[in-house]
Amino acid sequence: MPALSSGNRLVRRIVYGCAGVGIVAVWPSWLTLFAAFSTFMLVTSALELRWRIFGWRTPQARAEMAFPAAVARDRARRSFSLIVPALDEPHVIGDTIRTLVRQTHPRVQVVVSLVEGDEATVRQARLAAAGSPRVELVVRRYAERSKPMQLNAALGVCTGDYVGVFDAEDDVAVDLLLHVEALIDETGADVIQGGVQLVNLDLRPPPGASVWRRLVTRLRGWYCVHNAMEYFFWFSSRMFYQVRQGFVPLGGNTVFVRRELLTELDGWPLNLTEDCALGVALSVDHDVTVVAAYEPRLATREETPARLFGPGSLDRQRRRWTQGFLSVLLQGSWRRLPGVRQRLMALYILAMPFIQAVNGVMLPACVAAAILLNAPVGWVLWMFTPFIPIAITTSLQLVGLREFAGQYGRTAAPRHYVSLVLGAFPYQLVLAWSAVMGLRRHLAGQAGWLKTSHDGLHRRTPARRRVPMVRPEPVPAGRPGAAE
Amino acid sequence: MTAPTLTRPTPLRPAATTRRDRLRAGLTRHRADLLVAAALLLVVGLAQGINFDGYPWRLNDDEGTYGAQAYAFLEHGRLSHYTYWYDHPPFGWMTIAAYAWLTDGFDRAPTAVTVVREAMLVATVVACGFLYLLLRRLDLPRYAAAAAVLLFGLSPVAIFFHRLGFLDNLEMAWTLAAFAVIASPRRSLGSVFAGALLFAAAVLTKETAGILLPALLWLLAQRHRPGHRGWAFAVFLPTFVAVGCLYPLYAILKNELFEGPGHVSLIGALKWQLVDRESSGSLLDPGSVTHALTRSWLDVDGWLLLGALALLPAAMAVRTLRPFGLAYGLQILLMCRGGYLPQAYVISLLPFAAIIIAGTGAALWSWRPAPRRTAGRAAVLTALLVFAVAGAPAWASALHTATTQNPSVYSRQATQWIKDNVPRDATIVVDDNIWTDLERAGYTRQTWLYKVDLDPEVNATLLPNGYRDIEYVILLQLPPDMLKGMPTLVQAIDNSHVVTTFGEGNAKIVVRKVDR
Repeated sequence: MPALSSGNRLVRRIVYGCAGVGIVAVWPSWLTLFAAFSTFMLVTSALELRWRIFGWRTPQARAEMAFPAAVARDRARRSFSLIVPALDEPHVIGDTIRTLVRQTHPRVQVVVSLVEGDEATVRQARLAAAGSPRVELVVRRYAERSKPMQLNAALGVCTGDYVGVFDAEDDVAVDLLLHVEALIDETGADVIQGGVQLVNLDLRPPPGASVWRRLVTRLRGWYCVHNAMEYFFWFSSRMFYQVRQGFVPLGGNTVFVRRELLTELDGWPLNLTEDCALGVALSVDHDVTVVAAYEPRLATREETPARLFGPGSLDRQRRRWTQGFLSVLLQGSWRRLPGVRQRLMALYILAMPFIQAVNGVMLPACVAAAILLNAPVGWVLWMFTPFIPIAITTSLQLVGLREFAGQYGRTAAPRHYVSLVLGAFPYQLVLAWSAVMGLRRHLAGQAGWLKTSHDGLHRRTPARRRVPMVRPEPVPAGRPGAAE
Repeated sequence: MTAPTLTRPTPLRPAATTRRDRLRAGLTRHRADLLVAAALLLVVGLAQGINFDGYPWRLNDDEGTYGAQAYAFLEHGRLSHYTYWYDHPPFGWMTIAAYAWLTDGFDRAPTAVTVVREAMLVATVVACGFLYLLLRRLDLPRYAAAAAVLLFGLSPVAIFFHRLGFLDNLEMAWTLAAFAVIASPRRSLGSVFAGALLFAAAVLTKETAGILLPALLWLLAQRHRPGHRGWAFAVFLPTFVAVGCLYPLYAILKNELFEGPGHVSLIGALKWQLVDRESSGSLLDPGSVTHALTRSWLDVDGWLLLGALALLPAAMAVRTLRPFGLAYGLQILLMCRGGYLPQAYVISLLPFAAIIIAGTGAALWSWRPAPRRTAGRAAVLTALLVFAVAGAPAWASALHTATTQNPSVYSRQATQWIKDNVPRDATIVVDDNIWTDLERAGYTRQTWLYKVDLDPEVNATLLPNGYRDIEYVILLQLPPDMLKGMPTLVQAIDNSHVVTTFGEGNAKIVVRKVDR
């Protein structure tokens, strides 16, 4: 295919060109090396800022993010199948099924995709499904367990015009589908991406915990607010930028795809981030209209991972995302995108975990270099420039937190704001660590699934009392945009 | 102010229009404004540009100082021709240097000050453009925007001061750009970011722009409704502060932030500007320098400054004009406080005075309901009539003077005389207006008058024997109190005889040879 090869050549040329310029620039001294890194940081943090601002850039843009008014129930013509893949989620699956069943849309099929052998979850799902004609359970045995396989198993029994995905712990607004239908009416979209939001700003201490224990839990949960803000800006801003650019790695849930399209593609790609891979496949090879909408009231509510490191943690989740992104990147279908701009954008988004990692490591190195290398003043001032976008991003985080607290009825205490500022860099380091570990896993050929565990922190009453420390390895999942 | 048109939310799709389409549509939609603005800029450009180098005379050697600093930056990569001592942030003369570099200024123009004045002309035209844009964005009618530009560009004070190479003229161009951009009708955060950068540029050009920050923030708050306001401030403040921090950061890196023995410092310079510098007194004290200086501005023209002062309360009653009323009022208050008042201070009053007068006039003109409207229109027409009879002739004659007289020539004649009569290695005390021209002519020991007594390095290297090392003193006829604190220079003048003079009155330049 000539288009393909010329596109390849172009991308290769750009990469080689950048590398060449980089080497020449870096050659003379350490100083130029660090100045080059500063430039890199300046560019990447400016882009990050651009994406965070995009959805909020004008009052009109804000208004455009919202869903249209719901269609009247008797006017709803389309049907929806909602797939809920679940594994080892006995504490949350029941409530999730019950809210999905209560959807006000008249034509809804809820397909719960379960794994044979996961008795507790299956039992809870059966209980919740009993007596509702809307629910169907698909229980299969999988040689190798993965979220996309569960999704594909469920796809076989779906009958709706559009297939939606929700995760086992999702809190979904009951009138969401009526709004989604209105959006489809208005735009003729093939794919709709709705909002997802992590809503807990703290970890929940066990009931009756001592003051000391509560304090420790709070401290342990410092990352929650960062995690919540990541989702906030991803779904309220960045998603729209990607839609505008025509390259959309989809989120893992609250995403609705025309069923025929999915059937044509043989379902979800078998990838660690199947949502991202599906989005890329749709953007690249199918001329689909992807539309995003965000409204706090209609956003699907989720929880942060219950811990930072260890099994079921944020770290493990990010390792999986890194691996998933990396495999999509290496698989290379993004190079078939039509424009250079889009290809660069795709390259950039897919390489994001590594760019973050590089930035996380280079930031202190550049500061140290600026102080220790005894550089000329002009150079040092240049090394300072990345802090301008970083400062703006930080202050946007603070406003974002206030906005989030208002929209989601949460209380953001002063300590959350403090954590947002002081914890920004440590959080960056955690992500950098996960990216490196994800890369290591990939290089070692480990493709197992690292699952994130859910405690129901986003629900007002605790779903379970105690967090089991050991969970069965390999298991499935998604990414921001990918809640799971 | 119109509400942003919140169209029926349409979900985002890939952009359907290209940039060129949008540009073309914009040009068509704003055709009338573009034509009016172009005509205004032409008029102001001509009024300011004709004979810009000839009038006013080289009355203040700050012009030459900025020229010398721009030259030092361009030729030697240094921030000043002597030790940079944080008198002002350097962005202003960097801008002049950029202009000189782009236009090959120092090699092309007859004097260094000419280059600086050319840059001022560009700045004034740019400032007029942004002033027009700002007023249109505040939803004032075209005639009001045009009136403001004409007031800002043609009043005798403006004709006099906009031509002079003061940092304040650059500062006002950046500031007006910032105000115009912040008033973006789309209320975009991108424009907030750009506005913060522009205002940081204004403050880095001249730190006194900081006094206008409350006014700019007020405009920002007015333009962004609650709910969106937080985002706007979250973009504006860190951008402005972080970019502004480049200046103290520079001082820190040079180890010149804090005062210390044997080096200049930013804090020391600030302390001198704000506290130690000899106060000009309060505007309210009739015997003060401030009072005299204000009188001198009003002697040039009172209509703009006093008119705005009279209309200030009325302007504060109009919502859109309040930030500009605040900007004007704050600066007037500052004049009453005492402290040092620079001669060019009036420049930062001018655009706000123009906005207040034009804006209040437009508000009166369209005052409603009907009985008020008649009264309002009658008031505006009366004011116009009075101005036409009592003010316009003086404006015309000021314009005539500015476009025809050439007292600057004396400074140039003096430079030529030096080149013809004084050897290249002679120690000559001059003002900065001719310093750079002598430097370019190959002189090596020309000395800026302030450095004779105030720069230890100059003392040690050029004047080890005090005034006896000075051969010539070539300066304007300086009033004695300007020489206070400069004993060596006074001695040199006292022990000298006049060789020749150029010009007369204020512009008279005296050439003295020191008797050693």
